[in-house]
Amino acid sequence: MAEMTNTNIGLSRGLESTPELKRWLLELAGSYQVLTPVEKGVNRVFAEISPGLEVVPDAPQERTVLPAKKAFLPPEEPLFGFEKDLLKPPPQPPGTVIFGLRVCELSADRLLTAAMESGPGDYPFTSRRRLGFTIGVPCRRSAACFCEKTGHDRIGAGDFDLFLASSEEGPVLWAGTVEGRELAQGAPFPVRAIEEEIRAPVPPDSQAWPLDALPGLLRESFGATMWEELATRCLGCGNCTVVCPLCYCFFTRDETGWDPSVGRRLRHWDSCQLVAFARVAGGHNFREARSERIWYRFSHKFMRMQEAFARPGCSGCGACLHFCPVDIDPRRVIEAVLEVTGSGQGAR
Amino acid sequence: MAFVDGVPARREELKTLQEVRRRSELLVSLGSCSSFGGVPAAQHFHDLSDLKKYVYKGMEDLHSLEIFPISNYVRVDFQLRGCPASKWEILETLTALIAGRVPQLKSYPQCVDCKIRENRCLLLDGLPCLGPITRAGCGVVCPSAGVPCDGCRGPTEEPNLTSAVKLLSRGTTYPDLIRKFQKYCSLVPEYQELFDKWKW
Amino acid sequence: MVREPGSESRNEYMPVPAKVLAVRELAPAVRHFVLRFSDPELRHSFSFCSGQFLQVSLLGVGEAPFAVCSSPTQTDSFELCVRETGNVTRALNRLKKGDTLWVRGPYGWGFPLAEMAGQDLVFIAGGMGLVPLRSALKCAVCLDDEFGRLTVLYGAKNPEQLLFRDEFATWREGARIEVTVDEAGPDWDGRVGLITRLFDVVDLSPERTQVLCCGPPVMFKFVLGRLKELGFDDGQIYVSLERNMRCGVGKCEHCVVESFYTCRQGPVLSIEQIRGISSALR
Repeated sequence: MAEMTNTNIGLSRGLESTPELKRWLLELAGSYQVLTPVEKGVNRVFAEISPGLEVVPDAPQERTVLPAKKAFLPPEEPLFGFEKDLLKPPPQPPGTVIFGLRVCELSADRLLTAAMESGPGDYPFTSRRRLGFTIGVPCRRSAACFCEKTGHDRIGAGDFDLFLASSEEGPVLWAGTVEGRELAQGAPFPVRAIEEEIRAPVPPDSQAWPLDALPGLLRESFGATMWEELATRCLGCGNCTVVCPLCYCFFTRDETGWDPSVGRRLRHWDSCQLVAFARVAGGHNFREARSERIWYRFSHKFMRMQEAFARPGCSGCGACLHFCPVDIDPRRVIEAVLEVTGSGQGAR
Repeated sequence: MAFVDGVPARREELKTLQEVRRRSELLVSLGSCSSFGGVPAAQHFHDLSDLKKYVYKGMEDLHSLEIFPISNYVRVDFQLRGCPASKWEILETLTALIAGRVPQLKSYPQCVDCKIRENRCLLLDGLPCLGPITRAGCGVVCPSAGVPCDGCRGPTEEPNLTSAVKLLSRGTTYPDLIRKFQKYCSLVPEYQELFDKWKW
Repeated sequence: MVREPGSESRNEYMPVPAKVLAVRELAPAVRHFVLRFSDPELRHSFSFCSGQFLQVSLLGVGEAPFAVCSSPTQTDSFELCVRETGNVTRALNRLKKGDTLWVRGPYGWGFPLAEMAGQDLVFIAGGMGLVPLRSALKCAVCLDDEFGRLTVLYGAKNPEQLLFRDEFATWREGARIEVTVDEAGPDWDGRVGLITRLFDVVDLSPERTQVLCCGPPVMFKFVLGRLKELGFDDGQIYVSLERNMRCGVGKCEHCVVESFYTCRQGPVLSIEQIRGISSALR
């Protein structure tokens, strides 16, 4: 069977928002929290489906502001509640179906889940993710895309629950998991088990960076002037980490009301790009310099996560570039690392 | 515990401030004016006689002390920035002190909260939004309503002003940008170098 | 992806209560707590390795990491030292006997004492660095047949900041303790000088010896230099690192040093493991 690329499954045609699709999603909304990409003013966001909202199934050239991670790792959530000496577990998370994920997003979701499940698992995340379903859609290449450079340009069985694609016969639901197949019972489209990889549309001769070599190269590049140069431009605004599908760090704080014995312990998205991130009580900051914080972000994704998971913590979606006020381009950064360390590989 | 807003502009007000400090275990500056000078501090970049002539015409016998944040005169235990101060921060300060914790106020830029609210980025639209260098904590009220942040809460920690000026100058003129900074932050230390280089 | 609730169904972030059995001031702004779990089951089942840490919190205040300073061989209770530096520590140091605090853990990698059987142990502590080392020292003293000679080199800023002075006499029954301070008043009749001066007083040889070291970053530089001169291998020296550990389970990313989590691969690491990581000993 021919390898299925997006061109085979309707890239150019895109997916029209058929009434059957919307009806099915609304049906699912009876049992799950269903999130789909919708227009919010001039933005696109994942929001709960409702009859009045227009589903936008074909992957946007303009991306959603927040990635799908917000469904399983909300910007702020309670870890537990407390009342006097009694701890109360957080509320039971809802079953969630997220519709409209691109290949890079599905790939990122797999890696994020693996990261949160590793070691002592992160219960708040895993308890939500366990009850989550992903439905992918074809995507279009945008100017900021570079998923093939980081190896996040392909997904296969087990990487997603369902993938809605169009074909000559009309829309088809490809099932990647048993649970996906079950979810699709009652769907208005034929369901088939995925056998091949689904690939994002990428330029034919564009290849991945030397991902296995990058950890060592990043170590070597620590202290190089390229990070200082980036630091002169970088505002430390944190945009990149918030919109990144593979950033997941958080801080915790306690919240109480007028009765101090009643409250919650919360966790909230944090960012390694913020000055206070590496500061300890007493005032010492382990990453005082902005250039070090910037190096840290890239080394966390392309060194630490690459070594831990054999894949970099960057899906090549370009969201960070899109939202960076000073246009810091992660592709230029990695290319600079390759150049500065004289690996001779350069960009291809 | 005393909350003090505004800055002393008359001698009697200064006396009152000192008395309040004397009588309080904790003193909180409420709002940008008391915390770091705010709008009144813009006085430093104008000639008082010009102000009297053009703004306060007919009230020439008005007189004001030189404007400084209240920390110039008394010890301040907590600062609640913002014009106005944020309801959330006031509640957090009160409930934290009752519970015995240090108030967990935000020191990071507005952009984090703005993206979490999934607002349209006004910077990307070419507008001079001071979000990246302004301390969060107000719930990003202005950008959420489509109005660029004008920095009323003061700067975030270690703002990269050189880069910010370059970026923000695209959406406005340089003098207007300086005026924007001076609107609330005339006395803020991080901006002084910038203001020194610019002479009206 | 794990779909079924399995071992992941435990919410690692929910702590359990422990009561303060005793609390005393150990040094200015430093308090020493003896604690016991409220749950009788836990009192028996709780076990840890010296060097591991607990995430300790007060509800409504916040959470912070603390190394256990009592020996793992101590049953029924465990001990912590808290130095007042910020939000959580300030609130903890207001606790009295009978109050409750909340604990989860133990987390991290401790000193591999089991692998050091039969060897001489050298404990080098600077300031608050004595806290995790006290746990290992008391454990070694307790199991004294297991190890060779035990030597402790301990330095603090001044005599008031020396921790556990009242225990030195007991420790001296099983180990050699040498102490120094950076500066002292006339009442101090002990040594004055940097901790590296203590190297001249004891006979340290790398032969069948393991070094356990904890202290402020500036101390590491000098101590490691001297150990190198004496011929110690990187693999013979273990350090306990301090970082901003928040979640304790390698998720919040605050304690990452280049490629390792202080809360998972550390806080105890050998110099060999952190060789080449320039920011580790900051």
